[in-house]
Amino acid sequence: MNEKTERLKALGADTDTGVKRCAGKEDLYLMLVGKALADRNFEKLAASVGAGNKEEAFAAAHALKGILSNLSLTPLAVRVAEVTEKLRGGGLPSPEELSDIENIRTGFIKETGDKQ
Amino acid sequence: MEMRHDPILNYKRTVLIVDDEEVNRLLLGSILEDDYNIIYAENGREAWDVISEKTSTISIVLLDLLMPEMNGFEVIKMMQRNVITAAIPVIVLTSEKAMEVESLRLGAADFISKPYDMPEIILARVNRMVQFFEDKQVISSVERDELTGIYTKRFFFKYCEKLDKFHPDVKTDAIMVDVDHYGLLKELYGNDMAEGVLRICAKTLYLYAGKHEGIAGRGEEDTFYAYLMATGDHTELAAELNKRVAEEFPDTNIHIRVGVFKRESRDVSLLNSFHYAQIAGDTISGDYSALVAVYDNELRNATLFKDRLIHDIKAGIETGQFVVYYQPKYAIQGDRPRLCGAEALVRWFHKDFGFLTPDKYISLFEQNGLIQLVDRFVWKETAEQIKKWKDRYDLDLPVSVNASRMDLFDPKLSDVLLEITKAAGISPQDLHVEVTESAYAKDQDRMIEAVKKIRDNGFAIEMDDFGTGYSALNILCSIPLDVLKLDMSFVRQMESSHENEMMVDIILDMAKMLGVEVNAEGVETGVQLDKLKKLGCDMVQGFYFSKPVPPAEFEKFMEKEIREKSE
Repeated sequence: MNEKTERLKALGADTDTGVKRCAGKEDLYLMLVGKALADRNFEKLAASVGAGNKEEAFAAAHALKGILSNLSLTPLAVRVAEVTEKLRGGGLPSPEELSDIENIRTGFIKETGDKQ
Repeated sequence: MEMRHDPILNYKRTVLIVDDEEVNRLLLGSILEDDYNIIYAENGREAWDVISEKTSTISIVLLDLLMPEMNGFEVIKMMQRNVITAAIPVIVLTSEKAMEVESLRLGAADFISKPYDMPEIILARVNRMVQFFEDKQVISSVERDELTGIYTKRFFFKYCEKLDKFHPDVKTDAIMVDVDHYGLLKELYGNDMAEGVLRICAKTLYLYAGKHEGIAGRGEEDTFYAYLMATGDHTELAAELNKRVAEEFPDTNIHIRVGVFKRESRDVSLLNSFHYAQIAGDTISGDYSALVAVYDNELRNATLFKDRLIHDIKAGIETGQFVVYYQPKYAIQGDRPRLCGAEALVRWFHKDFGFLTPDKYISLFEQNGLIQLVDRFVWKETAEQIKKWKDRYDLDLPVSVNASRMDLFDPKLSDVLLEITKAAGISPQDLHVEVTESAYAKDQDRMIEAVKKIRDNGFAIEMDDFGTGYSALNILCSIPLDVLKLDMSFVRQMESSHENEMMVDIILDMAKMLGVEVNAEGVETGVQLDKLKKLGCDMVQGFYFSKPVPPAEFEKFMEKEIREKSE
């Protein structure tokens, strides 16, 4: 197993499932994780929550949820899912929730060494 | 899945993956890329552009619902508006349970939830949907030919269409394989052996098609087709076919011929492609030294010429381009040759091509049934001409007209003939009907039945071209007959050897025993005439007396006959 995958696993990602979902191609998995962590929807989510645009915030969170759960980046996926549900119910996520997501994301980025 | 195990059909179909998230697109792509060609689209608008442009090549669409520009629901709605795009299955990608139901209601075939199931499951679901929708299009009857085990014609063409769909830009070869003179083969060696030949051909072609990225199917009785993505000259195929058949049946001389059409573009339809392959193959019928023929420019021009004639026939008849000529028949056994009848022969003066000899169109029109138009025109014209002559001259001259195999298949034939003679004011005895020997080659019983019916109505029957086919002499006993027309080849060969002369003698004797008159065709010299007279031939026809002439010229022969009769 690739060193990066090991580190993602240590952070709580279900990398076995994630790699399987990529037809067993680990390189592809890591490439997609890199893309997911750099996804513009993270910024969009934060910005639209800041502007009070719930609709746009929901679309961004929903999109992220799909990507992160597909790659089994579990800790991140779980939190994004919570935010998505909150937005769906008409609420706005708290700044803590958003920074929590941002921190976990930064942690993942550090461990995979993929920064943009 | 049976389809996926079939080497013949293991071609990559195309999947359109639509998702605004690159990660999701690539994930699905990685699962499907080994089995499918993948096209990606980032939003609904892009997806719709791809679908409209490549409708015929896309086998399935995997569609995300929440996307910018145009969302998935709208794409589904657009696809439903058109019968062709509506036939492409859509699998919806969603993480929302509520949307799954909504998308199915709108016409999606299935859904895949996010996070995605394991790759095997996704692949299986996509495969199942693709197959399900393809099967829906091919309404099953019989897929495999019972005798040979390869595709039936119907399925063969269905699968060709699919190949075209999966390979829209590939140059292909349409191949036709035919057992030359299969009818004769069957007659000579029996049904079992003939079917054995067919099986070998089918198997050889099947294996060849497998090796050349294609499929094989059975056309008519002894015709097979192959549609190949890997093009070539196919001499190897022809050699293999003939070798395998020769090995299995060493004491025979069977000719398997191959016709090829190179389909460079899809402008030529599939059916036409195989039609052209057939035309090419037909050019080497009977030529044992040639095994393969490729459809080329020369053939193309010949085909265009034929198409033109087919197109022009109706107008030709209506505008008087077709004219009936008459060739006199002379009874030769008396002290002087006596005019005793005529044969009506059609002549076509085409408005652009001028005079066309009958060999340019008669067999062509026989193949496609248009000969009936020509025949009926000649019958009517001749009946009216007979009436005019009867009114003007005191001569009893029956005129014979040709009836082709097609006419004999027409259950109304004898009614038509009766109507024509009645309308013209002549009796059936004034009109003889010539049927060629080869008309009896297939469906002999049915042909005999049809001829009997005409004869019972009072029309005398003449058998044309006797000796050119392969019918045994005993056919003469089973066919109702009044006159036997000895083919001109006998008359020509008669002089060359004693055996040929004996042959003519035997036929004349046999005809006499059966109470049938004999009319020798193609008599050109006095020597031939004397010999035929000596052998006991009743009548002759040919250039010695006259070529076929227009009515006005024929009248000179009638006037001469009247003069000589009264002398």
